[in-house]
Amino acid sequence: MTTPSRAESALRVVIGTIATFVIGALLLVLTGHNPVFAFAAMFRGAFGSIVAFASTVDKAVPIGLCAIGISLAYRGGLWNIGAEGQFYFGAFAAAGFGLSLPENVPHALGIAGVVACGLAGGAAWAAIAAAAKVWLRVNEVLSTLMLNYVAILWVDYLVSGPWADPVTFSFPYSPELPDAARLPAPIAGIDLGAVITLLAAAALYAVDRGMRWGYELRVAGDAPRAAAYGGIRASAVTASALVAAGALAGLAGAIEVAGTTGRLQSGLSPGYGFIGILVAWLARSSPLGIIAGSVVYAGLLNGGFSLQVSGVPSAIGTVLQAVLLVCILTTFSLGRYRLRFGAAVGEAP
Amino acid sequence: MMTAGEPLVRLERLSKRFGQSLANDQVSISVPHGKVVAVVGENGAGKTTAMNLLAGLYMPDSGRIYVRGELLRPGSPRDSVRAGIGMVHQHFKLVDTMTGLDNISLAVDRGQILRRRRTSPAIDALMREVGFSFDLDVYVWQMTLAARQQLEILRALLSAGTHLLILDEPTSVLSALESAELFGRLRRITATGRSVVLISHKLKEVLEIADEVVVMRAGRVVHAGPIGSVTLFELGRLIVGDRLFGTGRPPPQRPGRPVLRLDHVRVANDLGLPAVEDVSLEVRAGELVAIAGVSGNGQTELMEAIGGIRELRGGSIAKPHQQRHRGFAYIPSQHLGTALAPNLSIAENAILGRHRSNPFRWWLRRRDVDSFARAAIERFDAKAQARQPVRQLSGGNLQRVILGRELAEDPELIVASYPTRGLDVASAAQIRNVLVDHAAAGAAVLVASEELEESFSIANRILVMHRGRIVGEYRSDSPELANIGRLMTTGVAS
Repeated sequence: MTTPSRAESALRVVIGTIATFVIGALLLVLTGHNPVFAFAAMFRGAFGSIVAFASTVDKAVPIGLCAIGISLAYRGGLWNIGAEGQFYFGAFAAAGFGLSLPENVPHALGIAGVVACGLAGGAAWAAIAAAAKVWLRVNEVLSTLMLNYVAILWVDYLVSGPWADPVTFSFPYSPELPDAARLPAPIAGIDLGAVITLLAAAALYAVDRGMRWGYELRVAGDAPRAAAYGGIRASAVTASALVAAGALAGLAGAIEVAGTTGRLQSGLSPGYGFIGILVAWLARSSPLGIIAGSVVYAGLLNGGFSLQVSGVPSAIGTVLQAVLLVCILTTFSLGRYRLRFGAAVGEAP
Repeated sequence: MMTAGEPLVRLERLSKRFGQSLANDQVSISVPHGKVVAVVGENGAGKTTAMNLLAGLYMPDSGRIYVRGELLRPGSPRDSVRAGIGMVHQHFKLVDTMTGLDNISLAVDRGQILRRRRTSPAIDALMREVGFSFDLDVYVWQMTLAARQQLEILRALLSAGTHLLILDEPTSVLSALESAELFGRLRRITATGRSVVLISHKLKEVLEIADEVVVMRAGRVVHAGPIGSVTLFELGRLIVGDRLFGTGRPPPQRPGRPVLRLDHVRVANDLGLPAVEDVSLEVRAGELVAIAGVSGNGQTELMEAIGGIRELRGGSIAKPHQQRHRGFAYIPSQHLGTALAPNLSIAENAILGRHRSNPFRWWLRRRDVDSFARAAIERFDAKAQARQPVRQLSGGNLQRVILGRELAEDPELIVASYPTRGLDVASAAQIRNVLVDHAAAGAAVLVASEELEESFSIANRILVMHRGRIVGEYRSDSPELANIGRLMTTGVAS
């Protein structure tokens, strides 16, 4: 099997996207809506104004960080389904740090602490699954998936009980983080979260391009016996990749509470960790593809919200997310075949 | 229904091109009813390609296939199966997590048999008729390679009533005894009027079992005729053409200091059962030692323990080290998945095991990786590109890349497990010569081999292994072949 060239890959993405629009339009027509009108509303909601675009970038950041982590673990042959939970646990750790900050802490120290706690929280949550994998041979798909619910419910408990904000009454919110623990507003239009995400993508590129750790990870993921043969401790290397994936998702959680919501709250993520799995799949491990895919999926999320304003169910946005995945994966699988036209050789005359 | 003299299957001027290489060039082969036709040739001569065309797995570029005089639709595995053509591939195509019966059911009636949970009279009758001896209720992953092969053959015979059975290198995974049993079964299969096509490298067994022989070289058929028409020597000549190759000679006998020493080594197999029991041996610098034995007597496990990829249950092994890592060449019997990571490039595989020593640091520089890759490819003329995924290489080229990597720094110890298994005559000779040359240059070499003649042609000493123990030691200049044969199969010398 040959790997497709860049041009071939791009062509497949374009064809898949067109197919998505066609299927989406059909769905809209069948449900009695005007597809042109709906698509225009989605586009406006996602990229139509500076405010809309900034909001899309805000959502692309957690999706991208989760997807980069998921791709990283996948290089070691591990499926991290738990980015959502790691996101929540990172957000919990960052919020806990922020809420317990004394007054008059320097801003730089506050931000550094929030980021470090996010990384550590996500890493710790993934480490549970990594340890179970290494010592008890527990399948990481199950452990990471189930740890999601634990983390989400843990945060729900905190914001409706011990950490509930006395001011917001019945809303499941924590109090606002102090200013020292907040990410700065975009400087000259550059969002700190976006910068961090691009740096993470660059790091993923470096892992592929020549880092020895990345090499050992690929060998361990492809053939554990070959890793043992080559003196690589496969379980340690792949476990470290899963922990790093958790750290990235946790970082996304920290950025969310410190940059976007300003507080820990129930329903903090509309499924960033799960969308990250889709994006990682679609991007086929490429860091650039992950960046592009995150922006597109963030756009679909935002566009879905603005659909509702136009009287079209926002679920159409979610449907399009799934259709896009199916269409692009299908074009890539079908792209492996070649059609032959004309009579087959040897056919009876 | 058929004209007299019309063969069962006739390939007519089949051609198939893969990229730059013409794998089959106007190949014409006839398979008569009730005969064993051997297709012989080097790796890459186009034998398997021709049979994959017949099985409908590849679409020919040109040419026709007739079954009982009727034109076969090309490139359709379903039509080929319906026409009664069954193929047993070199790498078995079985579902490991299913039982033998499940696998047959999957191929024959898509799971209908499963409802009955037991074998049908047809299967029982066929098993008796052909003389199969294995348990259908065992999971495939628990079966020996010989049993898996029987299962493949049984499945092929059962699906759509196969009239032509194609076997690709069937004896490469079998011991001498198992091969003899296989040939007995093939005889019974042809006695029922079915025909067999046997792809093989091993000329002696071809002469023993085949009725007709087809020789292929570089994609073409260079000889076809009854087996009696050629001698072993002529056959060898036809296969390799005008090239010359040595048959190997042991290195000169002047052993130096011991490089590898095993003391009372015990090792378990994958199922946790004892595979190696109390083996002590020593290999000295400048000597080549061969471990002979019927395969499955613990040789593979022993070599894996020496190579460091299987834990010891007891005893100790003294071997060269390099910064707590393996400091010697190790060529395992399994290439893909053990010595090589299949989906990584050749360049990446060329540094496996070397990636923690000079010049490599935390960052693997492209330039350094490429120079390792070039060395590994060029040392033994592997036909390969550095950026190619390693799984795309043929068996001989895989072995050349591994040897190129492992012998790059002239190691003081070489441990090779079945280094010539499945290779064609010329490649096998090249690899034997390399091992002998290194021993002559002062390296200690330990080889596991299943071909006694090979062991005698290259080794100074031969250790015979039986049921996990070393049961005899011979010098290659005092051949007692009959005795060794008895020792290998019974563990007792006369």
